[in-house]
Amino acid sequence: MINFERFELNNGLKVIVHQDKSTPIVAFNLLYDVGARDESPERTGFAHLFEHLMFGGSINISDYDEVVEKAGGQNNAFTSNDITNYYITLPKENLEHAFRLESDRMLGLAFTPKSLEVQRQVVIEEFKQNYLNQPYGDIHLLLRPLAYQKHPYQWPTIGKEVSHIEEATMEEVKNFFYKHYAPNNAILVVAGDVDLNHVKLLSEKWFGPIPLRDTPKRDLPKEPRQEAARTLKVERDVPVDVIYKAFHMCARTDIDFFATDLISDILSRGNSSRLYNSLVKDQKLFSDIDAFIGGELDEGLFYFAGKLTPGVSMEDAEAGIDAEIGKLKLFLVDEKELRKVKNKAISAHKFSELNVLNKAINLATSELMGDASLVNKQIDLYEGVTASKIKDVAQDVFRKANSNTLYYHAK
Amino acid sequence: MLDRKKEMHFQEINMPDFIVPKRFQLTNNLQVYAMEGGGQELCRLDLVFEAGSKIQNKALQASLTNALLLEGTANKKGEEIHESLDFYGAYTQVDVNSDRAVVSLFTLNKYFNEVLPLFIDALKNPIFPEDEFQIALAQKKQSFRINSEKVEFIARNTFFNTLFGTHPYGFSVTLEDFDRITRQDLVDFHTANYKNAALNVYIAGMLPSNTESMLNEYLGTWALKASNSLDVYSPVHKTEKTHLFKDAAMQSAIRIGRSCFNTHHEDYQPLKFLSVVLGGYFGSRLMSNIREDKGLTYGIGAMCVQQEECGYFCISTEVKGESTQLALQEIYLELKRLREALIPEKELSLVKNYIMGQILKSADGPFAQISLLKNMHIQGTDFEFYDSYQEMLNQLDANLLKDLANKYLKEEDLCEIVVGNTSE
Repeated sequence: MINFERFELNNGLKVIVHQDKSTPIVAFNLLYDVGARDESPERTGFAHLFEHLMFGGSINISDYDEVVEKAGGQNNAFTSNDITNYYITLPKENLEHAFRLESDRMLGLAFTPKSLEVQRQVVIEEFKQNYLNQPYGDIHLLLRPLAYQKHPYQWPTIGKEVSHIEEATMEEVKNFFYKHYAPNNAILVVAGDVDLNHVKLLSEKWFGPIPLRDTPKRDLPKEPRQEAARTLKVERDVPVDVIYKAFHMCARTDIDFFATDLISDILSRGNSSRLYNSLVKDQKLFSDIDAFIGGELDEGLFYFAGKLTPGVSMEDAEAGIDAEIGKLKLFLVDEKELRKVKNKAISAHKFSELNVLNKAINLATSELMGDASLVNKQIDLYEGVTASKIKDVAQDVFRKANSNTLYYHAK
Repeated sequence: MLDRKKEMHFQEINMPDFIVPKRFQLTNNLQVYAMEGGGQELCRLDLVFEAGSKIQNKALQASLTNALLLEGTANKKGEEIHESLDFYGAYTQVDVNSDRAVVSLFTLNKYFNEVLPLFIDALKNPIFPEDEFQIALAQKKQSFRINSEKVEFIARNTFFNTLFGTHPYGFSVTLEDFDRITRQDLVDFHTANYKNAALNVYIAGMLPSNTESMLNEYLGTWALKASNSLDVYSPVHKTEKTHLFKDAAMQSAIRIGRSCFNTHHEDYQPLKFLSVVLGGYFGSRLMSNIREDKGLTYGIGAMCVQQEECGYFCISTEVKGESTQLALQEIYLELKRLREALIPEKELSLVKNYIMGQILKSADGPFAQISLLKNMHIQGTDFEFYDSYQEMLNQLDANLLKDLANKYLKEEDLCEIVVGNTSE
């Protein structure tokens, strides 16, 4: 159970405060409601490039990192298809530095040409390091456009291609900032040994003067229901064959999310899971196989990812996955197995609440989904999943017509 | 009117309050360190063994034994063990490096009485079933083949091999090793280095009231042997420059460094500090120059790493292939600056604060602190180390650090490994 208080400034900034007196560290987490899904198809990778630019100096503070380091803090950020999230952990005595830094970045960036030039290069190197100069690195570059034809989840956060990053102009960068980086498009969470009134005071002082901005209402194309199976076959210079299957699933805010998540646990959480025991141990079709959900906020994907045992054909490997899917669609999960995956999910949730930064990020994303208190409802929502619900969801998600299969062959 | 430009006062960061662990001995003299707290009905248990790869007789022996510890006993199959642990929502984690192996259990307190016996039995009495062994071997072999394609992996192995030669620290696995290892090798390694040899026990969380009696019942009967005596090893100093061309590589992996010493050497802490200045944090010199000024890489770092018998200093990065030479030139330029110019006072104090902040973060609650204590014990120190640490930090001055750079970081004294685009 995470206790918290919530208030909103006149400019629309939502602030959540969680008090935890046991830690010397404060987590300061600022979430902006903008991700790769908000990019134009001609300028993909922009939200992520922008995350880099946020460290290139703001209106009044030229070196962000230096201030954090002097304050004895650490900071980082991540971009997903849905959000861009910035965080600082620092000694509680130096908390106000975090307010000064983040409010100045929200007020405006320095937008120096040098920063754009350098970060463009850095991001291109990141693109190469993780996606191009890496065996299997391009899988998500191939799979996403296969699965999505309309919704902007069709590209990964790094972007569709290097050229989109190469061609970004300062004008576009500025527009992106004023369109998405605004108090009324952000959620701030302060967690640690802090006092609500003190946080209110600091929030008013530093963020209060920033004007509300005109942010566009999100209106993304909805992905039509997939009615025919899609496949893609590629050959690459890699050591072993790999198969990926992706099925469309519900949104993060849908009640079926919890059943879908438990299905991925039944299939592949831990060594007692079905895929490992059936496909790796008994049939030896795969040396390794995983089932997992992407965790996106809009309608996301349910993935299977397997490395084939040398000598096994793609057809046999795929038939093995299909057979396990078939069981879920046909039979009810027994009570003991269901209890097991619920216990495991609940315990994972509890362990995640040991760390003050995790708590802050969980609160921020829950608030984004509509209500910070969702964070305290997770356990009940997992508890509420029934065996018949799991069967229904499996039947709906694992339709053949809903499948996107990538056959990744070794040359 | 709010003055946003004005820099605010930075509070000095003081050492956090370390939790004094409760210490008790089990009937077999096994030492247990316990830390109470955490606010959740959970606990974590760590067992540390002297079962690192440096004492293995055969490649893969230590890592496969470690990976297969919980995969089956004479009475229970691996899947039954995992089924039960999973049912109670428990997690296990195994880890091994050159020096030590750690086996950890994470459990809800309400199932502590059920989970502990299961976990200890599995750990103490594994039979390493042939079937499980073959699966794990095939998995590791496949990962090895995939990793062997990566410039970073090749550079790392070549680096250790260059520094430490035939010592286990320099050893890297080959594809043929996967055909030589047998199930019996695991049984033998387990008997010698796990079954009769638990080193220390760490437990943290809101501890169940019967913790001590439970540990005594299940761990207090463990037969113990004396610790291996510690060898200190001084490798022949190497200065090789090795460039390996890899076709179609977009990036080059670079490793520059040298062997040095372990934490007990008087220069260890100052050299570690110097490595932070050079490449240990986001605003470090290497990051500022190679990434933030020239955009040649996604990341570059320098570190001073402790190993029980002999540590090492290393700069590592992956850079834009066609800029490999420029990156090398700039790395050496930064090393030269450390040798020739004094580090400004402002930068010194920033790094000191940064390091203090890191210590504070590693002391965030009993789970983090027990982990810190465990690692400190592995390095042969204790929380007492921090009593004098801040004073040591305050005494580090620019002259001392410059001397240190001249002693250890001369270009001609360092090994250089480049894998990828090696054209001049």
